[in-house]
Amino acid sequence: MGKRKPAFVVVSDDEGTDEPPSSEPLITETKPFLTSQVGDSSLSCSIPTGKCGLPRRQSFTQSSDVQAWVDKYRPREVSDLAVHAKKIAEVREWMVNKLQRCDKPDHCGKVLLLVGPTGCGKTAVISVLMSKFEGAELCEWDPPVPTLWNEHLHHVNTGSEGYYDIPYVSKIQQFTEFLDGVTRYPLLPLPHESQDKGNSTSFLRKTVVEKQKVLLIDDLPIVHGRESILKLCHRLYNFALSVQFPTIVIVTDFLGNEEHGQGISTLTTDIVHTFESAGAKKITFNPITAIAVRKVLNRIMIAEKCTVSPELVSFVAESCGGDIRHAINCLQFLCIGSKSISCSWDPGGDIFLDKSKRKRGTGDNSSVKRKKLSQCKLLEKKCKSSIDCRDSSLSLFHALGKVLHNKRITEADKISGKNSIGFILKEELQRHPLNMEEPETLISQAHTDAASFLCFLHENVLEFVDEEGIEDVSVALTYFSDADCLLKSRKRSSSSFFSVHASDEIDPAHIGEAVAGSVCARGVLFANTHPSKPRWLSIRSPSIRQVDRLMNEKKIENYTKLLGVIQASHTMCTHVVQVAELEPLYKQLAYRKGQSNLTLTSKEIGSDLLFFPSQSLGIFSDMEAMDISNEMHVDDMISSEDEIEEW
Amino acid sequence: MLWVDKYRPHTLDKVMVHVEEAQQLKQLVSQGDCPHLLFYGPSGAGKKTLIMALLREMYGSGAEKIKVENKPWKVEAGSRKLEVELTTISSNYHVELNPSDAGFQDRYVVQEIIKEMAKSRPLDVSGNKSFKVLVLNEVDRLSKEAQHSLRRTMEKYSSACRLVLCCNSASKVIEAVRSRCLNIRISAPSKEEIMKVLQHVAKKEGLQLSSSFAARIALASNRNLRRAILSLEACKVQQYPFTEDQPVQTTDWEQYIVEIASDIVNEQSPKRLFLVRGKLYELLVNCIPPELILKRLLLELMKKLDSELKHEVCHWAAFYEHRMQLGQKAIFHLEAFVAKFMSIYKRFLINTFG
Repeated sequence: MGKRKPAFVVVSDDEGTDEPPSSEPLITETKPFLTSQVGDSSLSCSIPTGKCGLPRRQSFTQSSDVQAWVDKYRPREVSDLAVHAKKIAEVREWMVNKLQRCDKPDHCGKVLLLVGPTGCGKTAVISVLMSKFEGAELCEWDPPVPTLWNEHLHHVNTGSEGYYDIPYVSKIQQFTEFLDGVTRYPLLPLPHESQDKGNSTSFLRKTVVEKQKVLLIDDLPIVHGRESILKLCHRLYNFALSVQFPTIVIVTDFLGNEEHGQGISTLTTDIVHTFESAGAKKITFNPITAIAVRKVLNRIMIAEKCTVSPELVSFVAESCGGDIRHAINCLQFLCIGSKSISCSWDPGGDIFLDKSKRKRGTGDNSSVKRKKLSQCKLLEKKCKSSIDCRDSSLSLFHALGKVLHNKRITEADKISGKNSIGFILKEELQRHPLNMEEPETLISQAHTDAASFLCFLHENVLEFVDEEGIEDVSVALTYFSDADCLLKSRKRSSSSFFSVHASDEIDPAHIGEAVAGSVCARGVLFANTHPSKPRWLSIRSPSIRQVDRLMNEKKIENYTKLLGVIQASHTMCTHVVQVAELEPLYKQLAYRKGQSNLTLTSKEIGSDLLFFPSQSLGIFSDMEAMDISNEMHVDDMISSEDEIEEW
Repeated sequence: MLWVDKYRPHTLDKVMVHVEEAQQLKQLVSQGDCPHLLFYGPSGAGKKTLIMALLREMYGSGAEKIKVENKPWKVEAGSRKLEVELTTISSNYHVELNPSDAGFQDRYVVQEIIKEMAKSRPLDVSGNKSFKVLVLNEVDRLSKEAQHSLRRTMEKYSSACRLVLCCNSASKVIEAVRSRCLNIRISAPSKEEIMKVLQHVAKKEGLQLSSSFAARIALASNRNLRRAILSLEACKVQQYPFTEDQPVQTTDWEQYIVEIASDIVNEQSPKRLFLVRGKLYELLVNCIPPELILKRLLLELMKKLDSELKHEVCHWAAFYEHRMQLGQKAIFHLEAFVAKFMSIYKRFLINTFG
């Protein structure tokens, strides 16, 4: 049973030779032990090494030259951290409060909640700060390699030996068991420890127990479905109230990442709410600024003695989207490239740092040098295309806000961009260059299809045009009309062409959709020459779907009514006639029911036709309710964006 | 029973409008056989009346013993099996249905029903009328695919059944179907004809109808006979005996469009457009066909427009009506038309009044 799980033991720091002297004990994977025993340990080990900046993890000393820089240059001192000083101070203050004055009765909860996007140094801050506290020990819940349900089924069905007797334990169950254990026993018995104790007593050098424990939960299980989310939140709430030690919970924020679906982002917010309601202190980390990332990258470059052109460094720093881990990985990748290239071009040559020495050499070297330089440029280009792989994603509202707000480069910077078009357009067709990504990129980043993007734009565009700009609206709506036609062609082609064409051919349906998205986004950008003044503007979700739904309901209702009409009159009556001509008449007849001798049919039908005004009211109150719930403060988003820049 | 149904002429000899066409139809079926027929013309012109009368002419009163059925049709569409609920009116000799009610599965429905009909030919003592008639309404609302499959089935089962197609606009019926049918255009009755029919109905009901009031009803009906008779009935319910200044009832959605039109003319701004959008949504929710909305709106706007602009506005209305057929969501095109109008009208106002 134990062999499927990586073993974690508590060791003192004397094993880590390249560690700076620090008093905190380390939890290290005992890799040699595992590799000698089980084949699949490589899998179990590869997961934790992806984490950055954790002093508790050590890699092999013999493979330090290929060690990931993320691990090699993880921050050890507070000054190494790229996180904003204010945030660090906040965390430190919390730690001081909890650890050094712990004997005082403390009512304000023992849980610290760190929220932030990936790679913004949440874990690094904790580990660095913890290492500064004497007499405190960081213990982490390390989830075992989960048994996938499918895998389990496979093993059970095929009857593989050894697996057969492993009962299936879901990740959530393990997690709740862990929480139970933690709250019950003050000594923080990590389940893995106790399990592996029998096997690995020789590796286990227990440190003194009187040290204060700080529990770190980094890997909250992810659940799906409303019910299980509630269950998990309930557990966490109880846990947060009853936990004995200072606990740090790290929640990675998927904000705006539509790719992961609504499920996870609601889960994240649910969890955050749960902890907050249980009295946890919440600290939100922002993505790391490009400047800070660049600083870190430069430091690493100096330490590694490799050179990457400053432009490339800033490119890496900017493209990483505040994810420092990603930036360092990119840098390492770039440097590997530069080293190998320089070797192949100049077998005896050194790395680029030595270029200055060679310059002073004889003149015949210059041609080689030039060749090499051009090669460098080429390489850079290649690298740029290959490292720009961290897709930054935008929330749908963010993307909409960009398109609707229509930010453009103003007069001052216009001169530089003017020559980009080779021909001169008429005055009224000229626009300033866009101050944003390509609209197509925006749509793809928002992870939405063109149809819904179109609906959103259509719903919201009117507010973003100045009161005088009805011409602009007219132009924009014409583009919407175009886009809608393009989307229709998508449907048709997907039914007829799709089945006929071979799968490797370009699907015309996709082109139609892509073009439609492009047309509607660019149409709005082009048309809106009188943007309304910046003010409080909310983005509503489109009511078009609501209208469609109501229309279908009404259609079904009408259909049953139509049956009545047909049965009464014994003539087929078309839908249009019924709706447009007969029904209004029935209504008029029904209003006068008392005064006249109505025929049976119109009485029957007329009686339930009176709802028209009341229902129409209903629609709009519904819509408004929906709007309010979906409102989002665009300016708020913009300002938060600015905040990131500032940091 | 509504007057519209009550006073519907049942034989080709009794029709009051389109007398000529009725006689031609009578001659056509006098031999006992007929080609496929396509009736087209505006709403309320009398297409359906003629068709029913024609059926009676062919089969005698047996064609009037009808039953209304609402049954699910099991249709095999490729690998899937669909169940489509459809209402049919049938006698021993004919089946009538609205295939467009089946939505996007219409083409399977058309095929399936025709096949079914072809299987069960009517028994006739004389044995010479061994075909059934299938009356299809709203053929112009069928999808192109359905129309193509209609063409094939028409050829395949031509010995077993005759099709009588009925639609408003022949231009939305594909060429292949049109060329296989005898096309009969039923034009909208003239104002005088409508007045004649109204007087006829009034006489039968024992009402006093002054010719000026009849003229007003006929005018308001827009040469739609059904509309005229319906509003006569509505007026009678509202107030009888008729007075000269009595308003002719219009339908509520048309009233609503009048409102929209005045909204548009009064102010041209994005804010106003938003208001109009809400009203258009409401019309759509109540299942008023978008084509009808656009047409009506154009007519209302035309009333308030300087003749200088009429041509341009008409052009754009036609443009967006076409777009509506190409696209999916009608609101985009309706609203684009409204915005276009606002833009044109505003420019006109600025040029004229400064």
